Amino acid sequence: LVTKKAFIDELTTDLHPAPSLLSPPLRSALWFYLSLAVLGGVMYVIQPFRDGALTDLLNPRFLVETLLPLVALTMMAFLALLTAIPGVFVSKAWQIVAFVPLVLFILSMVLGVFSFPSLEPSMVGKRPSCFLEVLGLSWIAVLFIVVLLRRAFVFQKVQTGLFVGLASAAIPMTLMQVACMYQPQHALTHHVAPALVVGVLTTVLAPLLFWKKDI
Amino acid sequence: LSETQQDKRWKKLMTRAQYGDEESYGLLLGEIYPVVRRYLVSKLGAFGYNEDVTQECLISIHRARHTYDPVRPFAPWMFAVVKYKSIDILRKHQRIWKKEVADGDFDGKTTPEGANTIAREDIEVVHKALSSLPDEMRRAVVLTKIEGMSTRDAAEVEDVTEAALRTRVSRAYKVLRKQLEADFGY
Repeated sequence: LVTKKAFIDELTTDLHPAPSLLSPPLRSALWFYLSLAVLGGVMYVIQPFRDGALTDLLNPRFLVETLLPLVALTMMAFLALLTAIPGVFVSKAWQIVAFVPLVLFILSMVLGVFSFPSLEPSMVGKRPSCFLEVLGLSWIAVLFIVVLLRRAFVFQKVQTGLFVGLASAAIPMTLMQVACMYQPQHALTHHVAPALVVGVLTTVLAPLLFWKKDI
Repeated sequence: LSETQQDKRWKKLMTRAQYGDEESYGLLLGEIYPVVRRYLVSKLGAFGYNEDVTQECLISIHRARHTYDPVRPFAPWMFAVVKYKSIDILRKHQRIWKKEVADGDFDGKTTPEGANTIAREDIEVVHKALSSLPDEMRRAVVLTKIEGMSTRDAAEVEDVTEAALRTRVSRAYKVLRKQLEADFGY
């Protein structure tokens, strides 16, 4: 134990600048564009996107259905970076708001299974390994966000882990809307399900993902 | 200074500290030191607290200073770091305590059989009595009799006059004496 004065002197002598981290909106935008470009590129290399996918986006319901998970993932990425700041607590209401677009997307798919799909279901553009692509490529986006958080001290690990996983997995899941065949049941079992698995895994693995030796 | 003004001041000092301003950082640490100590004494209670914990928490604040976002209030950030670190310290202490109890080696030295049990019982009895004191009285006793601070320093930490602090200690003694005599037969 040293005296208060000696202790403070020790900490202040030769103080190195420690610039604050980039703001959460900037970092989430950086992460989003980088992940979208890399994952989109890798998926295109594995197999080109579905023929006529761009024309399909002219269908208003399909366009909204595709934008919903995009909105959800940008909000979740933002919340992931926000909850990684010590002392910042996101209200339950905002957490629910972030989930709403994702839930609406899933509901739209469920509706498509039973009655009105956004597009006529077809096998055009079928990717043999779409399930594994979503499951595997999500981790590239997870890695990017973990790198962005490497200097952060994540105290709310479980919450941040959930948002990181869902936001990351939602990128390949959303891209599959235009990259893979369109059939709601297939989308639920091969695109949505692995994305949710990634969300659960990152939540469970959060203490490891955001582990710091000491603070 | 009101809480908001104080926070604004700390925010400004920390922002400067992030750019390497030693003077501002020194001022900030000097101002938050007693605040962190008060917080820890109130949270950890009589025996959980010691001066090392305050310094360890301030080292954590130092290590994490780049995670402070200057657009946000300073106090919630500071207390989040202190809370996280103090829980971490408590867990470590618990692990050490459990290990020592399991090894039957309370002080890390060989002691006569039964000696540690008596010491631990005594500690628990006093701990219980101290815990039942009102916060103000408990802190006064902890700072002066356990931490060994002078009345003047303790009064500064508690932000009261020396006379007021002496009164608290004296009242706390009376309460403690009554409790130990009545409840535990000491």
